[in-house]
Amino acid sequence: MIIRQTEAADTPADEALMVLVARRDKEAFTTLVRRHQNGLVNFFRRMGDYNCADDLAQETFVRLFKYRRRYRPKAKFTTFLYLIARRTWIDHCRALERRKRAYEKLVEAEILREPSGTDALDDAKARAAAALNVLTDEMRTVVVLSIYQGFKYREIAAMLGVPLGTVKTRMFHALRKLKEALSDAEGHGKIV
Amino acid sequence: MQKDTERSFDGGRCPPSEDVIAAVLDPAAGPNAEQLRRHLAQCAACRALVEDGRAVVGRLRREGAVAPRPDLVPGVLARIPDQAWRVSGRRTLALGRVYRFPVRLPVGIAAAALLVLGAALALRHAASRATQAATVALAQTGAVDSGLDWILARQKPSGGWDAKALGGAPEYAPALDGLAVLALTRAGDARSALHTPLARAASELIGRQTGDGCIGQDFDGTMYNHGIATLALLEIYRATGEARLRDPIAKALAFIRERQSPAGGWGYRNGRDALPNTSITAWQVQSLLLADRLGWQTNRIAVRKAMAWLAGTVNGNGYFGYERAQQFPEGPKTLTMMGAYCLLAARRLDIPVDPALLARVTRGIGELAGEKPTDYYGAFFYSSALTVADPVAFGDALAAAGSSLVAGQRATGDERGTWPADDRWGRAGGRLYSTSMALLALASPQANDPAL
Repeated sequence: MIIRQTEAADTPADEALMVLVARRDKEAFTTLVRRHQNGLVNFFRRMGDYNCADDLAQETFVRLFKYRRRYRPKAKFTTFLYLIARRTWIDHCRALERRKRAYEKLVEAEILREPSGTDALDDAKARAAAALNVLTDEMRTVVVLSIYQGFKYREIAAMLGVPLGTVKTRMFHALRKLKEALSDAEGHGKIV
Repeated sequence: MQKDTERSFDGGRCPPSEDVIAAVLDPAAGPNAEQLRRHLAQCAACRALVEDGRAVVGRLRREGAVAPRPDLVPGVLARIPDQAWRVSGRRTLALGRVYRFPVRLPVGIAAAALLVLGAALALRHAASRATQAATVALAQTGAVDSGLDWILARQKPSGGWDAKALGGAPEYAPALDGLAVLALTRAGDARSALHTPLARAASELIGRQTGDGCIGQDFDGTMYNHGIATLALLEIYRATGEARLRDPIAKALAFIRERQSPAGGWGYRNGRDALPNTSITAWQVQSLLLADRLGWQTNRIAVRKAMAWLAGTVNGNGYFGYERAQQFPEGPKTLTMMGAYCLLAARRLDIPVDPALLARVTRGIGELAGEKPTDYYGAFFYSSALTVADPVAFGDALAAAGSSLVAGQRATGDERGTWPADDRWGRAGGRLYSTSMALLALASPQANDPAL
């Protein structure tokens, strides 16, 4: 399922709305939030924190407003938005790491990987979430941005500040690991 | 999904497995589609790779679908102060110091008069105007980037620019350094890569400051140099937050206040008795307003006096004169855009402005907006005034002026990214002046708005 939304021809483009947001136009900002909220929440869920996804998406939008002057319509708006989302996610992980160190006896090493609240998911979703947990954070980011959020490789490379070849390599190795994880979950070698 | 470099690809080796997988997810990042299609028809190993990749991706998408969540808008808006938003009749600051001046009814009516055209158009044509604004901005981005690259490449290790070598008059070096800095900070995108060049430029400007706070040598154009250089230091402070700049900025602001004429304006020379004019006054006012925005709180009296002096130069049509009303040595357009920019910018910082004057000036710039600027200096104030007034309502005029500027940019050679110093001020400012001013005119819509 590609989450990134397409726009009707007669609706303002994201980039145009950001020009208005830079002038503190509340209506334009509200439109952007509504347009991208599901995609962002799903991004954070797939990155591994099911319960905090709403809060992280909110934080991303607040930061989007804060950094509105830094936006230039050179790149796609979504590249800018997910750059902020990625930064929000990294900060969140660091905060969890700090907490983990403080309560190391109470928190298992897998806290960053284990999506909390998975009991709310059905089996298939839980399998997909668990499969994503086998990936490193770098691989997982590429997979989530490409497969779920629908970004092009070049956009992901720009977002992460890595060469295009690195995105390709990460994706290749990620899919190989995912294939194994999904196969193991079913107890047999075929995935379809 | 194993990597096999021995598989053949159009008679040669197989494409790298990473590229084959890329073709599944993003064909633009994969190998040539037609070659790959022919290769897959022959190569079972690569075919299996593609099928495996599709299967994994398909399954992740199917099983990883997540239901939409409740609306986040109320939660997000609750975390942004109400005063951060633009509202009719009252402007307050976002994420900074918030000024709370009482808004009287006449001011509200005046603001409504100022905004009514923009608001009506914005409501009716918001989508198309906003889309147009973004389209223009996209077209101008390349021009801005190449201009900024040229400026950065010409910066000396000491932090300044060689005014003479770039075609300008050496005595205006502080102002020209200042214009280059303004272009970098306002047309640039606040990249951290700019911090080092900006820090070096700040050192150069501070090095030029004399004991009385003046930036640059004392000569007939002292206040030109000083006003622009002070504004540049303030912009560097806004971009980098360097604490070492606070004291030099405070001294530079004090120098501006001390040289204000009893009538409220400023002239070329260093002295309170210099005959004030709109051009010199506009630069001092910009510095005082930005300082106010950044937290220096001792400038309001000077700003109000300056507003009063500027108001005295406005004629019945809402046009600003040079040293007095009805005096237009080079025509009313640039002078009016300068004065209007100051007035509207002050208004954006909630500094009270006479509503009748505001309405007259708004009408005046509306009449003059149809005439494109004829020099870079005028282009900067034209763009700034119309943007602060209403970038949506004046979207067509701004787009036309921007396109005209982009068309005049050098596209090749050593001067690629610059604008020729071929206007009436080019002899004094050279290519650094023309390029910096053009970049400032092309800066993103919000960059020249002091309230943002």
